[in-house]
Parts: sequence; C-alpha cells; structure tokens
Amino acid sequence: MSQEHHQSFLTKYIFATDHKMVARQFLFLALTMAAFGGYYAFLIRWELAYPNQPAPFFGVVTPDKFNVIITLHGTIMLFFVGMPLLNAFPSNFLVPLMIGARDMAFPRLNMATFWMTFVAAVMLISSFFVPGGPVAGGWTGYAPLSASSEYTGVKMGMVLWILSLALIFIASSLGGINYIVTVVTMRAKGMTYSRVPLTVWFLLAAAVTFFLAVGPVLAAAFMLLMDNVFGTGFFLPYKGGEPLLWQHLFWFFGHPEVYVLFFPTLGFVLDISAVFARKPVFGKKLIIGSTVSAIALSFIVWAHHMFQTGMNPTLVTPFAITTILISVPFAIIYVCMFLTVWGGSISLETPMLWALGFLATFLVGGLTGIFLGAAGADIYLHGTYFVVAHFHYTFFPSVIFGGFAAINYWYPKMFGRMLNRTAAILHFVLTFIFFNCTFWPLFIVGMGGMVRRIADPSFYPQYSPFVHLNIFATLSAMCLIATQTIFLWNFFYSMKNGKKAELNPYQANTLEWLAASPPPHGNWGPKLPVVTCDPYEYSKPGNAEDWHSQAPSYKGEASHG
Amino acid sequence: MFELFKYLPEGISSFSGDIDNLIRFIYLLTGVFFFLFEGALIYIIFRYRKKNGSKAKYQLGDKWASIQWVVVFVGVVVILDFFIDYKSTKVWELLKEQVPATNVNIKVVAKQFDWTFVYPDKDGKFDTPEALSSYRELHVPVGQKVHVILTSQDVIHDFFLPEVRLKQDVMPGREINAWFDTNKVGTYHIVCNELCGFGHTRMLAVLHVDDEKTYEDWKVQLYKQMHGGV
Amino acid sequence: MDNVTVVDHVEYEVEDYTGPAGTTAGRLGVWILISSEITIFAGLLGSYILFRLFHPEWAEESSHLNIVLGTINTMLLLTSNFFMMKASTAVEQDDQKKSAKLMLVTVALGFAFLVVKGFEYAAEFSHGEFPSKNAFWSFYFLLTGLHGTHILGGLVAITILWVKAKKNALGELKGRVALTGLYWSFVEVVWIFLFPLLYLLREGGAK
Repeated sequence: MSQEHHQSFLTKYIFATDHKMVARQFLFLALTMAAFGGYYAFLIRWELAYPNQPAPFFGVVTPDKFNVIITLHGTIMLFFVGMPLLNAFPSNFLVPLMIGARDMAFPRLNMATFWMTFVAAVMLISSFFVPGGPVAGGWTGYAPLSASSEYTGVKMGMVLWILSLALIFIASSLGGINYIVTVVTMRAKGMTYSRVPLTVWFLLAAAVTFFLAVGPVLAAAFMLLMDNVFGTGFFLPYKGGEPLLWQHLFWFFGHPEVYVLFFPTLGFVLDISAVFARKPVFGKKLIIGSTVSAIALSFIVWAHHMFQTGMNPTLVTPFAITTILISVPFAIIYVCMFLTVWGGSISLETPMLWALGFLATFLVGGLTGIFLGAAGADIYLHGTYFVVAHFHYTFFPSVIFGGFAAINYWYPKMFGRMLNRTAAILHFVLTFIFFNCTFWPLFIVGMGGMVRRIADPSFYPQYSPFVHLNIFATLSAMCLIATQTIFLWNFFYSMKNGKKAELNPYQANTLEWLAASPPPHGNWGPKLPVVTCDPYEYSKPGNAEDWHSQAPSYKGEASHG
Repeated sequence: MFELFKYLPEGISSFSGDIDNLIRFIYLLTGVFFFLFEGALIYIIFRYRKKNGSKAKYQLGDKWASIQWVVVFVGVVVILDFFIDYKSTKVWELLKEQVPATNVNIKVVAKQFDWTFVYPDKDGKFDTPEALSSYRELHVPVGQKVHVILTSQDVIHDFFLPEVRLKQDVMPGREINAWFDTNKVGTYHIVCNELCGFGHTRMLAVLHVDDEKTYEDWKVQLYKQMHGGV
Repeated sequence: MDNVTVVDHVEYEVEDYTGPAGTTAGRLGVWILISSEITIFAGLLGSYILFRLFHPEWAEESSHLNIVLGTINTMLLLTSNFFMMKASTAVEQDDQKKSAKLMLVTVALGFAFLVVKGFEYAAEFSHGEFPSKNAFWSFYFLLTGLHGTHILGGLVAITILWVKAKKNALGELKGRVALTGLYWSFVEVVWIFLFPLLYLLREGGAK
C-alpha cells in the first residue's frame, strides 16, 4: 500500500479516498438533507395546526403537496439523514482509527459509495422539477397506490424515488462491506476481537444487518419500477398481482433497518458512558451476545407492521411472540447501560448529556412499542398518531440524540478544536425540552383517534377538542427546528475559532485519541500502535490513573526516525 | 398533558371495553417501568455525579453473579409481556379470527375517495338492482352483530370505526370479512386509515346506529330514492 | 520487509491484509457482496415461487419458453465457468498469457449466452409475450433481465482483466482473477436456480 504524500485539491476534498474526508462528506450531506427534512417537518406541523393557511416560506400546503411532503420527510430523515449520520459518517471516521489502521480496506470503493449517495440525494431532490412532481405514496410506498401513476398522477417522480433509494441501498451495502472487511483484516497488533471497542462492534452489527436485509427490498424496488414503467402486474390485482407482496418484502427489510439506525447509537452511548462515568461498560459479553441474538430475531418480526392488513389472522400470533422475544436483548442492553453509569463518577459534559437524554427518551419509545405489539390494542392504535409518536420517540433519540452525542464527543478529534461548551449545553437542553413538547402530545391525540397522513384535520369535527394540542406540538416543533441553528453556528464557528483541542481532552482509552487532532493522512506516525489491553480500564484498582490507554507505548509522530 | 385517555371516544360496541381495558392494562404496566427507570436515571445523575474524592466502581459485569439480576429482571419483563400478549390474543381472536352468524350483511366498497355501502336484496345478493346502495352513510341496527364484506376498487384503504374500535385494511381484488356490533344509538365516524391518494384527507363517512324501526324506515326510504318512488 | 512502505525516506509500517484463516480482504469482500446479492435473488425467487403455487395456469405460460435454448445457455455458462477456473489456476502458476487466452474463451461463452438470450427475447416479443402480459412474464423478464445485467457486469470485469493479462501486466491485480471467478460462479449458480424454476416446472401447485 502506498501513501500519496501530495494530494491535489480534487483528490483531497472532492474525490477523497481518505476515510476521514469521506466521513466528513457524509456528515455534511446528512446535515444538508436534515435541513430539507426539517423544513418538511415544519410544513407538516404547520398544516396540521393551521390547515389551509399559507405557511411561511411556502404557501398553502394543499393535500397533494402534503402527501408529497410527508413522503419526502420520511424518506429523507430515514435514508438520507439517518444512514449517512449514524452509519456512514461514524463508520468511516472511527473504524480505522479505533482499530489502529491507516485507512479502510477499499479506499476507492469508499469514495464511490459517497458519490453514489450524493447522486441518489440529487435524484430525489430533482423529482421536484419533473412533470407530475415528486413521489407521494408515503415513505412506505404501499402498492397499488405506488405501482401505477393512474392512482396519483405521479410517474417520473416515483421512478426517481425508486431509483434513488435503490442507489443509496447499494451504496450502503458496499460501504458495509468496507467496514466489515477492514475490521476483520486490518486490526493493529494486539487488537483482538475482545479488545475492539463496542462502538466498532455496533457499527459492524448495523452493517451486517443491513446487507442481509436489503435484498428483498431491492427485489421489491425492481418489481415496483417495472410496474410503473413497463406496466407489469407484480402488485396490481387487476393484472394478477398481489399488493401484500410489496408489504412483506418491504417490511422484511424495514424492520431490520430500524435496528441499522439504532445499533450505532447503542455503541456511542455505551462508550461515552464509560468515558464520562469513568467506569467500564457493564456486561460487555452479555451486550455482544444480546446484539447477535437481536440481529437474528430482527428478521422474524416484520409482520407486526402488518397486523391489520388482512393477512391471515392466525399468522399474527407467531409474529406477536417473536416481537415480545426481541424486546429481551434490547432490554438487557438498556439495563446494562444503566448499570454502566450506576456507581460511576459522572461528569456532565455535553456528550454525556446526550447519552443520558437518549436513555430518558428512548425508554418512552420502547415502552410505547408494547402497546402496538399487542395485536388487540393495535386494532385501535394502528395508523393513528400514537404510532407517529412511538416511532419519533425511537428514531429521534437514536438518530438525533445519538448523532449529536457522537458529533459532540468526536468533534475535537475531527477538527482539532473544542465546541463552545455553553452553546452546546444550551442546544442540548432546548432540544430535549422541545422534542418532548412536540411529540408527547401526539400520544394523546392518537389515543383520541386522530389518524396519520391526513392533510386537513379541520375536516374532522371529532378532532376539534384537541386542536390546542396540535397547535402546541406545532409551536414546539418550530422551536425545536429553530434550536438547531445554535448547533449549526457552534459547529461551523468552532471549526476555525474554537479552543484548540489537546490530543485526548476526555482522557479516553480508545485508540483514536492517540492520533493527532485531526489525524493526518495515514492516521499514525511511522509505527502503528500496539494494543495491550481492553478499552474499558477506567478506575481499575492498581492503575496509576483512572484511565489506561489501549496502546500506552504509542508515541505518535514523535517516534519518527 | 399526562391524561392519555382524555380524548378517547366512548366505546359503543360489545368489545370496545375489552380493547380499552387491554390498553389501560398495558398503560399501567409500562407506567410502572417508566417511573422506575426515569427515577433511577435522576437518582444516578445526582448520586453518582463527579465529586471530590469519589471514585467509580470497577464493575465489569462479566461474572454470572453480577449479571444474574439483569437476566432475572428481564425475565420478569418478558413474563409480563407474555401476559399482555395472552390478553391481547383473546381480543384478537374474538374480533379477527371468526365472523359470527348474523342476518345483517353489508358490503363496504372503498374507492378513491369515498365509501359506498351496499345492502343485499332478499336473496342476499349485492349485485342485483334490488340491492341498496348508500353513499357515505352506513346505517346499522343497534344491538345486532353486523357482518361487513370489505373490498376496494383501486388502492388499499382502511375501514376505521373509532367508537366501535374496529379497524381493517380494505384491499383491491379481494373481499375481506369483518364484523362488529353496537350498543348505543347515535351518529358516529368512519375514517379511511390508509394513505390512498390526494383525496385521502376527505375520505370520510358517517355511521348511523339506529333503533330497529328507524333502520327499516331508512332502508325503505333508500329503496324509494333508488327506484324513483315506486 | 514487505509490510513497510517508504515515503520521504521514512519507513511507515503498513497493515498485513491477511486476516484469520488466510482470508484476504478482497476475498472476504466478495463473499459479503455475494451473500447480499443472494438475498436479492432469494427475495425475487421466493416471491415467484409463492405466486406460482397460487397460479397453476402459469404452467401453460412457461411451456412457451424454449427449453432447448435454455439448456444451451446452461451449458454455455457452465463451460464458461470451467474456463474461468482454469484461467485462475494459470494466474497462480504465473502464466498470464495462458490465463489471458482462457479468459477470452470465458468472455466469448458468456457473450454467447447473452446472444442466445437476445434471440429468446426477440421470439417472445414476436409472440406478444411482454413483461406486461401477465405476472408470469413479468417475473420471467425481471429475473432473467437482472441475471443478464449481472452477466454483463461480469463480462466487463473479465474483459478488463483479459486486456491486462494479455500484456503480462496484471501486477497487483493478480488476485482479482480468482475473485472475479468467484463472482462468476455465483452468477452461474443463480442461473442453476432460475432455469428449472422458470423453464422446467410443468406442473404448478395448489389447485
């Protein structure tokens, strides 16, 4: 392997193969797409609180535009924010650094995956400018609504949506291959599997789950594409097709996908908890074993998204049972998270605040899932705002709290500067408050029977008793979105003006803190670090300090010559 | 803010109580765990915050003795989950696995973006001129079981009767059987609960639960309307 | 030492690409790729089989497929794989020119497969058998079409390697011949499933 010592602007910033630059590209893509996703969230909430009134920066959100916006909000937040922010960005930045490698196993493939994702994002946004407008079938794209333009008048937009998703799925699979192969083949000397930090384990778990789950949805995407473009009848009953087939294939992927968006946060929260509580992660082997069983179980629960579809009702029972079983590994991990901080010496730095915030909010998401997994209760609750609140109380803690925990924690290593502490804490506190104020009322509204995906609640007189809750949620949502400007300011301002970061500001054990801040091309000095211990030796009796680097003999650039 | 059930509409079927009780039971159990864990979190943040002289405990959780309580705790959670599932299955089986025998059979036809309710002729057929077609208005006799045959003419819709606590996706190319009953006369709501296109937001219908006489009178009226006053 | 690279007169230690049990990075990568691809075809074939069970009339539709041409294609692909295996062995024995000849035969046979498929499609179109005719034909064209694009991709890869091997210029890419051969066998195995399920099933299922 050769190292390019001289990189042109093009090869350093645009067609970058250095994993850290690719990570940054994914991060910026995720933040840009989050702006779109957040804008759509604002429009949705506006229309729900003030139906048919012109929204600022948009105009009236008519029902056809509403359907487009809810579709794109879901698609963008899950696939163009969630996956780049929680999978591509951290895997790219952290995996080689945390295992003591100089780069990924396949750097050019890595670069290709970013550009494929970028093209997919452009394709999705470009669907605004094609005749018929963008896709409007919900992010779940149920057929037959999505299978033929006769039902929505949208054809090209649908084709672009399908192709854009297919492209990002393929890119993510290829990325996952890179991460897995890198960890298997490029660990530094002494970095046995049991010494690999949990962040890396969970990023791998996400990559493995993804590439095993994505096949059926790609198959379904090709079928849907053919139905739309060639008039085939995979999902159209009047051509001999079966609409439920789409749902089965989609959710076979869809359920494991939520864990793809969840595993990385588990890793971040555990590692961050260990560092800021100065304690080892509790039950590491138990956690890893639980993760493996969770991956396996995640492939046999999918039809709990389909209880009311008219599929054979007897099939509901086995899926209800597997759904209960899958709560076991996650409950174990959640309890281990508590036991990790229990008895610690906790410093409430910003990354720890996000980790604790995750624990507080994800609990609600997890518990409310039990209502929906009980098929009898699901009869009433399916398709209502109770479901919307449930999945925002799982996705938001995972993607947003977990994402901000990671960004706040590793920012000094990525940019060599510290974030402004006051702004960061303010950002956390306000986000926490406004997130809860936005979504908690939706449980109540959903229990009142308000259904999802309707553009005009004023058309439903039975919803007028709680219109004040909808307005409250909207105002909170607007505050939540506005709060993110604090983060954006902090993120960009601190890049140039933040306090210069020392090598290891949090006194953490893992390898990435030994590299320079930011690490140079090639990450390490002439000699690679040699690992001699577990990453969780915090407050170990007998150690001089309350931490112990995994590679204490590493001296970095100083070991030149 | 914490009254989850403040806007829950009154239940008007023989099983709405079962579903509501199930939901309340789950609420109770999950509520206990909610307070347990949030309480623990708050305790942890105060009790174990960094103080001068305090040192963290070096607990690895790698021996069975230390993790057995985790497993026991999760085991308790699972048992409670299965108990919830047991109660849920009873409700599910009652509602979805069978359709009780009844004289009241109505065909529900969904299409973008309205509901048509077809009442059979005296031979039980839905496709003859003697069958009655009601647009966006479903009338049922109070106190009787109603068998609905659901079908769609285009995309997937969903037949949601909030007060009855009935929900069933309506599929094209298929007829799905469902049933419900009512125990209170009045006017209630029918909502489409599956995104079906740009008019989804307007796909409403009305459920009229009538006493026997009003129900029969209405059917006679409808017949007259359809056949020009014969 | 061959795990050291020298930049600006300083020796930089690099990683050894060999992981446990001698798995090289490339080989592991291709296996993961293949396992992901398997799930795509499994999803399609699973859906096809389910449909088939509920549509016994598809037996009549599938009787319109040309079993002779299908069999010829099977033979072409099997032989193509045989030659690719030999090409891989030749590279291991450092005989790049020989492997180039073998890879040329591989590509020719693979290309012949596509030509035969082209004739089949043309004949089917002329009988009015389009993807939109009914779901059986939708599956047939999607399955064989997707498989065909995988063949095309493989042919492109093998051609690139052939060009290099011809000039004895494989260099670092030597390992890629075996890896491409691995991918090529996967493409063949998919066909081994496709051919009986599409062409040979005469009785469809539940009535």
